[in-house]
Amino acid sequence: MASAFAPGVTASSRPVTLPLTPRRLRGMAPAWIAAAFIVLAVGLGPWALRLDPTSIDLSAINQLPSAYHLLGTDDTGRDLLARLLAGGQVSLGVASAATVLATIWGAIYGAAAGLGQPWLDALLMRIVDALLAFPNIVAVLIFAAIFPAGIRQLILLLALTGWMQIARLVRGVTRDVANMPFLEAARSAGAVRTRLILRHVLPNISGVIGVAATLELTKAILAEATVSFLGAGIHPPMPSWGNMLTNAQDYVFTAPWLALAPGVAISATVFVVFRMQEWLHLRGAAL
Amino acid sequence: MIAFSLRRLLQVVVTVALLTVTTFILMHLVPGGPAFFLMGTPDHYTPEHEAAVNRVLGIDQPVVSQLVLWVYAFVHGDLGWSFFYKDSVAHVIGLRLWPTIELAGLTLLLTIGGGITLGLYAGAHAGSRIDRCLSAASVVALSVPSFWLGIALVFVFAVWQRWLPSSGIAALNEPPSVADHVRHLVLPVLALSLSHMAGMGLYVRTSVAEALRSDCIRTARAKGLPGRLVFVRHALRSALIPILTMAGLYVPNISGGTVVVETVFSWPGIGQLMTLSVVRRDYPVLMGIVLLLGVVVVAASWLTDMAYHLADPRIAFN
Repeated sequence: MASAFAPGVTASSRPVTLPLTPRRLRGMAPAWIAAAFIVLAVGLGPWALRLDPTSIDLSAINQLPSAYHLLGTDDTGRDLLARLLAGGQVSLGVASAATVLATIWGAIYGAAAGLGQPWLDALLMRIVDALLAFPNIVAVLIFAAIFPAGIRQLILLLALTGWMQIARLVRGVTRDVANMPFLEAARSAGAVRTRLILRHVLPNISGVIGVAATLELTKAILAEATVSFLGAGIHPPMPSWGNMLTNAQDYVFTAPWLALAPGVAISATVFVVFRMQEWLHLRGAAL
Repeated sequence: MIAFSLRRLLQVVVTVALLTVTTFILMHLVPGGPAFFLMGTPDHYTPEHEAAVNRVLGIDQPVVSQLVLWVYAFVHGDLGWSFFYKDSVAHVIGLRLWPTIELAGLTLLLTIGGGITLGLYAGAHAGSRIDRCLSAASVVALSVPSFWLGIALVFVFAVWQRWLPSSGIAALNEPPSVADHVRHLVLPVLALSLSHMAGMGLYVRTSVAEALRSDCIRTARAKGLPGRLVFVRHALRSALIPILTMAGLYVPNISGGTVVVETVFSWPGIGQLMTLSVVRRDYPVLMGIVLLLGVVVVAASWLTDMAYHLADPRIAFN
């Protein structure tokens, strides 16, 4: 899925770092502030709010926002704000962990293909092509049907289905860097393979790895939400932004505000990460 | 060209076969399966019961003999028997095929048509105010999950303004009519196509803007070719290859998207069947859907490859 959702990212984008002028920093300020707000709210919110996101109160179901329940309550009387904040911890935690795993594996895989012999490169990339062709959501759903549910399994699933695009991007720049004269110079000066990779290749591909990782984060957030929404990811009573919306459609006639907060939270977070990705990309490839 | 097509076709068959066999083995290796879900209430659950159900379903056999049975069923065209429906998988899937083709086909048309139109306009006017608005709106559209967009559309157009039906494929209290069917299609197609259209638009925009900056465009302008001809003959042509790539990539994306949107709108297609079968652990049906998707995805990539050669004769057949 979403291999196409790469605004402005191409495999050939060369990592060249631009100086951070005040203007560039200013243009990015809203996104950084929003990102800091989301992380703080999700990180400290549940602790500050002191409401149990799983405590059921059947005398107060589907309530409108009030002074006590700031966002109202859901269909079993649980506080929506508490669920939103705790759900954010789950959703963003799962997505971030999956992104880290996918990035590490994708970068190693892509670099191996980019630096390896042509036959190895061809083999590794054919595998990536085959895996990329299959819709991500379908793969996650099938695995979710096969393996028992749980946070760790979901992280692993999202990582397993998300690393291919990263591998492809990293392979592209690694290939470019591998053909650069400075690499040949270093090799002829007698640098061993480890040194070549750590001192010459890695610094030149780290920009692209960063761009690819942020892009993967947007996909992981959306994938977690989608899978949990469909009832195959995070299962209630544990909240996640996706499963908070599972029942929302049944109440769209009677309590439509139930769907508002989680949906806005997902969309806003993904939008902010997109903006950061765009900025990282511009910073890396604008020359 | 024929040799090339045949070679690609062979690759296609191998890929689909590997995909299905891997899925099959994974499904059948993991303990704990459909029996629990088919037995319903856990009160009656005993290991003997489970063993009996597994025996009836045939999943107590070794994986290899199950695989042989599945290949046998595949060759006979019925793809095995569903655990849940008392029917062959081919028939269960066949009943739900047309609604999904309708939904996915319209979405693909809208994605490609709308995405290319918007992208061409924005790319030709790169940097203008309209371009900046379109690009910003596209990134917003990419950030919204399709299922939430679906719920929001239902709220606006079915609950608040009662213009369109909220779910299903036909009104229950009216005789079936084309108009009614179209009314039921509008919201699912919109929910599915918006983000894809935005992605396509952004991509086309970048390709066109890049093509317009290339040397051949400058030469064409310098020799006095009228602006519109420069755009159509040179810019559009060199932007065609990335656009084709994207269109090919959208087939799997949209197929995956139908799973979500069909579930939201209770659209009786393959996607909804898939979500239901995941919950029911209906392995034979899931296998059938994986096979079908594999064929669709690989066929799309094959068509894309063929289209490349038509668009750009420089690409060699090898």
